[in-house]
Amino acid sequence: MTEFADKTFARRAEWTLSQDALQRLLAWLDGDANSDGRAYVEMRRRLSDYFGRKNCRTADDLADETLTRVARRLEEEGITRGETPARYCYIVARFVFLEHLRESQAHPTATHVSGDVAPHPAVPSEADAAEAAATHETQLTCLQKCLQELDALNRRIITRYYVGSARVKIDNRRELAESLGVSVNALTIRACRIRTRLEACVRRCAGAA
Amino acid sequence: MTTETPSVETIRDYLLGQLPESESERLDELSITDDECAERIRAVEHDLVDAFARGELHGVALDQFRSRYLTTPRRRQATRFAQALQSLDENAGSGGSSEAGRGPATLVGKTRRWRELLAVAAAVILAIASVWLVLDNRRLRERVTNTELQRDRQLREAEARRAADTVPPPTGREPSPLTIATLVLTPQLRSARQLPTVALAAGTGSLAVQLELEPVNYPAYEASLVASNGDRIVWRSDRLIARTVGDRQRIDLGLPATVLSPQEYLIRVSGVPARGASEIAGEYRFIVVR
Repeated sequence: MTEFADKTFARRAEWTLSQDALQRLLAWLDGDANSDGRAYVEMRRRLSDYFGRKNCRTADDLADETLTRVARRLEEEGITRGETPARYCYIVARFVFLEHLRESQAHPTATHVSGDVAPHPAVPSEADAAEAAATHETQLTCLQKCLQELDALNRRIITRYYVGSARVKIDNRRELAESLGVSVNALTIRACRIRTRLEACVRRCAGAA
Repeated sequence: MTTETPSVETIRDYLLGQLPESESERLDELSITDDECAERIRAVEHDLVDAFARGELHGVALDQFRSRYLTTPRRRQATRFAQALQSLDENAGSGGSSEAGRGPATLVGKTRRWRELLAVAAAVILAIASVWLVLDNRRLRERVTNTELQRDRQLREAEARRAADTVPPPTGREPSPLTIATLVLTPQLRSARQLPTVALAAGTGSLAVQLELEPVNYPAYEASLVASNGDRIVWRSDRLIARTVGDRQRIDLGLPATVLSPQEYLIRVSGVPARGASEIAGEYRFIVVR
């Protein structure tokens, strides 16, 4: 590892996110509006998705690392450039990704995968199939539980919006949007958010199972 | 910053790693800085994963999804979730606004009960299928329009006539070697759990199979029959040409009964393009019983 990288890691290790720094970060991400932390959650999710699309296995950790660096920069130097919070986060995320990529290449681990490599053998074994069936059963059980936690309208949206073949979906979505008195775009955004919550619930449930 | 919201196709290419680097970086940035674009990417990603879960991705798109998208545990987890979500379709019925209050409370229970009843249902289906096949063989045989089958049948009939001239007449109880069973297979859904079953009576000469193709278009096709017992290819077709029936395309196969035994089979259809290697165009599973 180079001297520069040593110093980078040392600095990173020295600084921890304090309560004050977190509050400053939340306020900065909110701008003028108080979102009760929703802006932070949304930004973390976008960053995590970004790293996921870059084939980083530790996408959540890298999202946290990005936000920690932004918070540190806010505390130590303030951010006076004319960038919006979202754009600044993106710029930092790019550096975090490039750094992660260099570290992965220098110290190959399982934290980054090449997009050209198929993750699984083409022909699954019987054991794989049995495990997949068990996983599917767990997912179904958890999905049932998590769906029951949704209110009736959200449950209706999730089952009508996402279920069905490609052609059926188009009709379902149009009819659902009409029945709710909203545009299809607005419905899409709402359905996406419900799905995100539902998926997180199923993930927690399956992890605990 | 003024941005033009990318199209669904562009976002799909982005998610499948098919965009040039500069364009991919632009979408990287928009996915974080632009609210509308971030939502749109999320929506397209959900639809893409759902399409995979439903078996609606084919050819290049499927290959790209497997090799370029399913590369992280999180994405594989999202795919498992999508598969569970799509199970609502087959378990909860066609749905409707009345579902809102009802919900999927009985989803897993239904699944389990369904499996418990599977054995009984299979027996009933086999009995019905056997009767149906016996009654319908003659009518369906007349409907087989594939020229290859017709020629095959004519040859067999000619051979039978020649044989009848040289050997004593059958007792009447022995099955005719000309008997043809018929099976019509539609594209297999990933979520499909109940396989079509065909009962072959003793003496059945061949199994005529009509395969309804996915909406793909190749100048020619090839088919191979894979036995589940040992996962081996037991029969291959010659080059096949699809025929149009309504708005779908079909190909017809004549499987010799001699290669069929009581077990599960997979017919793998490959499209043969004008240039290049053949590509898998569909898979059809069925069960043979005697």
